[in-house]
Amino acid sequence: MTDTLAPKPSDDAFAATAPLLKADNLCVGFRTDAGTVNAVSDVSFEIHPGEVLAVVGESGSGKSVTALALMRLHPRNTDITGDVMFDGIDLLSLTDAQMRSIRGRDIAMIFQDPMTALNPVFTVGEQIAEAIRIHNDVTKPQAWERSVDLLQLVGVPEPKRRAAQHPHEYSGGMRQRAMIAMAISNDPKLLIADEPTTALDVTVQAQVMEVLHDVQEATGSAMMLITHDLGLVAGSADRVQVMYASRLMETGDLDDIFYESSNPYTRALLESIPDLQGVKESLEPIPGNPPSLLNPPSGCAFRPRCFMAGEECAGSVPELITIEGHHASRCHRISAMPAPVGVPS
Amino acid sequence: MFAYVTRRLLATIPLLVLALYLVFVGVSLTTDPRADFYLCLPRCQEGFDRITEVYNLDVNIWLRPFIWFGDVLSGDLGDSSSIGEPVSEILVERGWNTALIAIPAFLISAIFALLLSVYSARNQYSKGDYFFTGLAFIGLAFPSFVLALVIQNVFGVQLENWFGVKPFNTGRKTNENFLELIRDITLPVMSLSILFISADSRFGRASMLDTLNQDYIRTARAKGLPENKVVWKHALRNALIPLVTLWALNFSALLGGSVVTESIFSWPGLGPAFLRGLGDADLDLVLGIVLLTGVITVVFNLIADVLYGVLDPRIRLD
Amino acid sequence: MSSEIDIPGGQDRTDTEVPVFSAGGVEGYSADEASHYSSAEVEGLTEAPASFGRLAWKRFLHHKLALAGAIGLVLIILLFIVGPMLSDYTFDERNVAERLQGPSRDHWFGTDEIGRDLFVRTAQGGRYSLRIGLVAAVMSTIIGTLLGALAAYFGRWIDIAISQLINIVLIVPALIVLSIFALYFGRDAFRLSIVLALLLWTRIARVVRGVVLSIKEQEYIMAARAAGASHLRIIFRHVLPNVVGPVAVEVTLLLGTVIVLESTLSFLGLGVQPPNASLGTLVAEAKGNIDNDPIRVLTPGFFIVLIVLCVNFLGDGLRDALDPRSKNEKG
Repeated sequence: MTDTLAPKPSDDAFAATAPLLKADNLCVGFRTDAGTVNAVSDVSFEIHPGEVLAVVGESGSGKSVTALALMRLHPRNTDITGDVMFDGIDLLSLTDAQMRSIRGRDIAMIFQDPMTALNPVFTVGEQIAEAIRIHNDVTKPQAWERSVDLLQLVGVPEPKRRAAQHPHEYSGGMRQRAMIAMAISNDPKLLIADEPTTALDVTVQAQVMEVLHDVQEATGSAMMLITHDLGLVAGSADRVQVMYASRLMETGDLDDIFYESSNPYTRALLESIPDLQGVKESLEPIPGNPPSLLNPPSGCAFRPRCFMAGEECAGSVPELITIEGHHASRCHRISAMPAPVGVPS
Repeated sequence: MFAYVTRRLLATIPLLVLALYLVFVGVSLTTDPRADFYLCLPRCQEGFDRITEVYNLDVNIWLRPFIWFGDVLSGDLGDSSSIGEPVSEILVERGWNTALIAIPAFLISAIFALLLSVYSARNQYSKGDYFFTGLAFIGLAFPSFVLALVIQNVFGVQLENWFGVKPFNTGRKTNENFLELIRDITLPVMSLSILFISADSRFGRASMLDTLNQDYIRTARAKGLPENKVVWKHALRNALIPLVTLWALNFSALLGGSVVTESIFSWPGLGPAFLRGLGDADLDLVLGIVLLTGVITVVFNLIADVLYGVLDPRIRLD
Repeated sequence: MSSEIDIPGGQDRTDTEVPVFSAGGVEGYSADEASHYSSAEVEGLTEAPASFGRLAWKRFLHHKLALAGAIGLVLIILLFIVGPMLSDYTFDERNVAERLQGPSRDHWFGTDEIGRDLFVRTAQGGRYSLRIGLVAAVMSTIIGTLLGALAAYFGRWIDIAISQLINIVLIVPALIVLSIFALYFGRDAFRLSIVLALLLWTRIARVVRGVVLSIKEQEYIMAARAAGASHLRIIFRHVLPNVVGPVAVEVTLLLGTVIVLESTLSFLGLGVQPPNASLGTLVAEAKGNIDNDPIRVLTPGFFIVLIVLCVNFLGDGLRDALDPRSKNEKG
């Protein structure tokens, strides 16, 4: 377990190294009585070692499903197609046993609701120690020692006493810290955090994000941060990709997305962030609702709610067009994009 | 924990007393031990008076229970008029016989229900699941007496070469041979078990399914735990909690069920004694049996409470 | 945002069997229910949920077993009502010359020891069992719903009193208490139903109490109170609609239990009295000759099992239809 701070490579340096995770044309569909629901359509992305990729979108955009599909933790009636290469291994073609050795060790996941994500009948220390024992040949006392150390690392006070307690004796923020401890216990190469702070009080959110940030930097693992909260992203991510209605709408570096967004959906998301410094005068929520994935609208899925939709938008789903470097956007009318205004600094 | 048990006892014992009071009054209203004597008066005046005295029939019916309570507390449960022995002896002797089929039935149904629940939940919607669910449904639909009769007929008569005819008139064979005992209790135990396995496995399946859908199971899988451990360690431990309390509550239902089953198999337990006492207006015996079943229910409810607190660390027993 | 301590049902363990009806029971799916399941299962599957009632009905129709149960019940009831009309005999008409016959053109199920036609008797017995079962179930429901709602809605002393009453009723096993009281207090069918109801209302009371308790704390109740709604209005507009579903499920299950209990009592001779007979009595009458004529015992028993089976299927279908968490994972 590394405690030294690894120097963070610049964005270009990320691109230069081979990607740790490369997803190509990932599609996830659920077979329901009402038909097949395409929760993830044709999503491709990369994550480089040590890099933080933020996946942003509303509920129903498919961001969580993507993560679950990577881990192959999806429910039974699911069809997954596409390629996912992780460290040279084709994840989707692994057997269950092979996948299990990767879960919790090479790829670890932190879930949204810490209250329900921990087993109430076992102690926290035991659950962390179990994660260690699965992938390492250590004795129970050794694993227990490690879990106490991990709890200390994530900032749980009195870790020795706390390790012997049950989850219901923890506060929400502490539970999430414990989940983080459990996730990093085997030095994973990739950390997937699925809305890690959504279920927490606002005041606790910042603390937990800080722990996550520190831990990620300290271990040097890559992170896939899934959230609907653009505000969280600004402080932590290297690259951002925005999803809507099962598709990637825009992807790019942090600056690209925040200062030079070329996608109306991203723009609308940015507009709806409350600005505590009072730069904006009114909050602009995006009108309407996300579309039904059973019966998506023709053409671009965002068209019904888009402030700059044109005739061509109803015809076909736009392609993901590269604008510059990593920056790509899925929109028919990129050239008609107005200049960004009032962006949070 | 001791304080908890004491407090629960203090809370439940008055309820037991109240229940017994109501049953006593009810029994007194419905049975008159002097029924046979009205016809032969005034010839049998002496017998009439004797019974009046023994059962305190001249005391107001609403006050009579207290006399009985007093007797019970000092250890006197009275004598059985239909069997002719002290009630306490009958309770012990027959209670033991009932326990001989109730306890194995309880254990067998608990184990089988557990195994079936885990299997059904893990293989939801598989053919096996549908099969066992179907069996459970059918098992639940059988009243205990129909099931007992079917079993008795199929196994006792149709397969006569296998088990021989079950002891009909003589009750348990007098030779205390263990093997003979197994032979004797097999059918009644089977009859009782099937009913409870059906009920428990449906509940257990639901509980297990519910547990398997919980987020912490997904976390366990995300850690890379093999599925067997996920089910038998993480899931079962949680699913057991409501299941165990169900079992404890089931035990008193078992007692009710054994009344009928014992009668059909002529097993000399509390069941036939109860029915006979009812028929013969044997107040002390009937009340004694009611007392016993009431106490057992209370005790097992208490065990269920304690178990729940022990198994679920979220519950504080104070 | 999230509460810190979560103790599900621990305080009142006796409610382990109570199905928890989560928020939004009437209006459709709510986001709270979704948090347990993978976000994918609920995220954006449909735009706006159809009305709860319509969804429930649709689910019910898909539940093949429930449909089979419903149809089966109807057929059985028809058989019991129409069948005897087709036969020439009445249920207590004795024809000693024709005693103990097997099934024949005249006597479809044969005759008993004193020459009564068994088919008509079975149909009669079936009607008896069903009638007693229905009446007892209805009465149980009324008592149980009333007491359960009162206990939950007004809380405190009333709740304690009713809860303890439930505990008292449950202390002695039902069959034993019934055996004691049925014979004397329940000599005719209607009074037998009353006795049964007086003992079996507790499950419904607990269910109703659980539902009402969980609703009571919902914000829309507090909002209604804040707006000045009277207790009665709240009960009728907000509470009862949520109660109907779980109670319907319980009632069907209760029906099965009642029929089983009643037939057991009749079998023991403590229930329906001669010359009337319920299916249980018929089994008892046939028992004596079981070695030679097991079919005669099995026939009324078979009908009991069939009826209870249909009722249970119905109840299961209802439960699946009304509980939004029905497992949709069929491939």
